[in-house]
Amino acid sequence: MTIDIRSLLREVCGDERAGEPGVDLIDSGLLDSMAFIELFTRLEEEGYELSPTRIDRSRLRTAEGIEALLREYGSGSPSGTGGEE
Amino acid sequence: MKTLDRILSAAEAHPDRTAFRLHRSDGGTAALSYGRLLIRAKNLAARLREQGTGPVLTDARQTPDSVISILACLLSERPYVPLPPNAPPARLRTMARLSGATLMTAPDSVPDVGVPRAVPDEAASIPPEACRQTAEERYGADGCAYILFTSGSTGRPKGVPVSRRSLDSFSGWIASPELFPGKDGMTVLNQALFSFDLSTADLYFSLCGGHTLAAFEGPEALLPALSEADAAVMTPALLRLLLLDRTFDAARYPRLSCVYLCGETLSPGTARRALTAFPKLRLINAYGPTEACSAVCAVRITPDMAETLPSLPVGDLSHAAADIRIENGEIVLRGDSVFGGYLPDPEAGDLTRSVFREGSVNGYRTGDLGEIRDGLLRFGGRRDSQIKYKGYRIETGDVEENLASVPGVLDCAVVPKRNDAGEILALCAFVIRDPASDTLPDEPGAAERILKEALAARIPAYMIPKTIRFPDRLPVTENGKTDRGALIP
Repeated sequence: MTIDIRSLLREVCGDERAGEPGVDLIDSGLLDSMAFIELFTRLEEEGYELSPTRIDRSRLRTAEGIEALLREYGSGSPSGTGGEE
Repeated sequence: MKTLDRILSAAEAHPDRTAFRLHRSDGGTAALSYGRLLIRAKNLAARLREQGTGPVLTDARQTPDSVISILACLLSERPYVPLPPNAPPARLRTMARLSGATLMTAPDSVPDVGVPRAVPDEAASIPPEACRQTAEERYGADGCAYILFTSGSTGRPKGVPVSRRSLDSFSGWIASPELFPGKDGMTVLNQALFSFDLSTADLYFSLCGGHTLAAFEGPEALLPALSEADAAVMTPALLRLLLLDRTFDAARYPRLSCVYLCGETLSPGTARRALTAFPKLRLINAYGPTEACSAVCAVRITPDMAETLPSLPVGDLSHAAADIRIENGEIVLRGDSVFGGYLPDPEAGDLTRSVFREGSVNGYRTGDLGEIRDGLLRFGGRRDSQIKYKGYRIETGDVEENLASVPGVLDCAVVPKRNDAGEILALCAFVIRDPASDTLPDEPGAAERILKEALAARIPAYMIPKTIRFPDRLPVTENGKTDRGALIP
């Protein structure tokens, strides 16, 4: 993975805590709707084509979860395209 | 033609057609036909007329009962006041008090605000109002159709009463052929709560034209609702989110032929992407304030505009709903669509500065900067610190006043954090602790949590700053005022 997801999260969420390990991005309100759109826009600019409206939000709860999602995507696993139900 | 007459004639012409459909998060739907809507709204209206003439608080959530309540209020000539579910009870009570509401038709899930409740299907009678006035005595000959609240710079919600005359002007304009396609029996997607002025575009276009208004309860229900829609009314942010999904295109959503956008700035990038995914899409960019029913002009965005312009026009003035002029750089509106002034609020200071009247014509100085070129209106930012965030209009002064009222806060400033494209990502607050108070703990994280909790009881969630920092001092300008431009969120 070439992208530093933690620094990206800090940037799109506008908060240093967003990059810390284990922080719940959803319960803390850090990854709100605007940060969510910005995160996916930036990921797309980096070449990740995810489907944000179809993605299981629980996978976006932590920086580690997002890293895992991107690893799946990067390895070409079909589930990484955002979990087409 | 009057809004109510349009709705009644559409409902009578298509009693079996679905007037409103709610797509629920669990995959189910709740539907209401025009026939049922009319019967239930007329029943409720009869009881509303009996009870009095004051404003009626309704549930702003998009449910069949909310639509029935709105039509019943129009029928009984009582203004409706939609209460947003995302506002804390204290703010709802302020809205109830400022509006002078004497009845509420919202279900128990809407907090009690101190006025009697009547649900649309209840048979029991409602106690009559203590002070009876005719609707005309209360609101004048133009009547009041509804009251919406916006953020006010003094920390209190600001009530915008919209007259029936204004609504009639708006609903006539929204039906004009330059906007939505002229197809019969369309399904129109609604995104916004009825307390958000954007919803007036889909609600009144749909009901006046005998179309089906389709709402969705949560993110899970968005795509199912959208797949049935011929037209959609949304904020540019929602369109941007949808377009991030490569499966959102004309091949998978063949019915979607029109997207009407309003509420915030549409970027050329989002427009380009929309017109690539949907090459035949009628992409309408609209502009207007709550003070003139949500929109006064709109323009169809062409692929050429999206490709070549650094910023997109917001209206074609050859078919506007108001007289739109630029005066000292500011967009100034005149005409029937324009409201007649805010609800009086002794605690909110002077609310009359932006409102004027020339003979019988209402005027409003929007505070928006703009220019007109080749008959097209362009938006150029704000004169003041009002912002659009998540589609909501927010006065940062409103957040600051509420934050400053929390014990332990000596001074504060609230500034938006933007991305490179200028879009607002978050609100950031800078707080100076009151040295004379020990309410706020020294640990910044703990102090931030306390302040956010205190704000949650005062203002809607979307207005609460995402980050709160505690600098030693706030930068000041040469005039001694807080220099918000020097604060880096």
